[in-house]
Amino acid sequence: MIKSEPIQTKKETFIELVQNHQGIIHKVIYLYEDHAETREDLKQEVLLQAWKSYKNFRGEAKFSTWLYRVALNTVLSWRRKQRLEFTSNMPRHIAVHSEVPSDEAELLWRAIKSLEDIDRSLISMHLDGYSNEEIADILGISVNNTGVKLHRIKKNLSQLLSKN
Amino acid sequence: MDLNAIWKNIEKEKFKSPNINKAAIMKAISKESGSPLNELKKRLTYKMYWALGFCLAIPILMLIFVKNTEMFIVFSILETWYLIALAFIWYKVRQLNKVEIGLDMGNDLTKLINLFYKQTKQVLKFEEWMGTLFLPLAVICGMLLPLFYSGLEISEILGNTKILIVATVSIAIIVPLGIWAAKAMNEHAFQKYLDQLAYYKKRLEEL
Repeated sequence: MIKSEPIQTKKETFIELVQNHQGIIHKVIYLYEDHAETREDLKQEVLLQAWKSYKNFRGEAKFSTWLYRVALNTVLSWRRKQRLEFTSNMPRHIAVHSEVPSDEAELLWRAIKSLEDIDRSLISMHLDGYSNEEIADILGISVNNTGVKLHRIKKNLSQLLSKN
Repeated sequence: MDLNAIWKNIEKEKFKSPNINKAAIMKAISKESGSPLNELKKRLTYKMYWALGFCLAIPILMLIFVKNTEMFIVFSILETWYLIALAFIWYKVRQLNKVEIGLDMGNDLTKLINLFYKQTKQVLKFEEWMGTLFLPLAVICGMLLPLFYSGLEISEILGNTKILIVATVSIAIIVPLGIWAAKAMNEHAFQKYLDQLAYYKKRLEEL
């Protein structure tokens, strides 16, 4: 983004970029939230945080990588706040899946959703075709660590799918 | 087992959210001043602009009114005071501006909350301390300026019992009142957001 860009042009550019990469926002939110209403709130929050941070986006990274990072940080931060608010109370919602799905896609989806916060994003980015370097950059971990984690997650997921 | 192929199916089935249109993005943009972190940053920035406003106004007043050395000294004292305040607040706001809310907040929320809490508290404490010293000085300056402007010299002012009594009484009334008012205004402007941060901080520590 060029710093001297007028505010109106800046907004237009931002809107266009977000619309072109909106799949990232949907995906990150779906990975962490099951409620449609909350997903809508989160979408607004991600858009807001992206806009606030956009003034510092210099184009050194790809917009998609940058947006993924903003979306992920916003959603994870929101999850932490949710945990704070509900720690001493009863959990607001527990997803109970008693039956094992026959569908492979559903099985994989549930398996991914049961992973740790960071692991969920890690595997979804990998399956989306992001390189280990890009994943490491987004998550703020080393490339080596990314590789090791990915290997372990994929192995676990494959085992789980084969078993069922 | 081809995880990529299964993932493609998940994409088709699961991620069917409504399109993010321009209106939705504009709605989000307009909500920019949402969180307490942003609110504190914004309010400290306003404080900085107030100090800057005074720093700029005093030299202008000097250009218009100063007609002797005594007045120049009084105005200079006030200007120095505001420059110190401006430098301190600017430094604090700059530290907060380095933080990318949205990008950095996911990394270490406790650290971020602590930073905002500490910096804001420091500014308020500094202002309180500066104000306590500044108010008596400001009252004295406020009384001296018209006297100097009318041509009286410092020795004449110090020798005038009536002026000294009025000055003492004014300081005794205005200073505590001013300190109380400044504190009340700061509480009104910042306390709510500081309390929210303190709450989040406490809960994070409990986890």
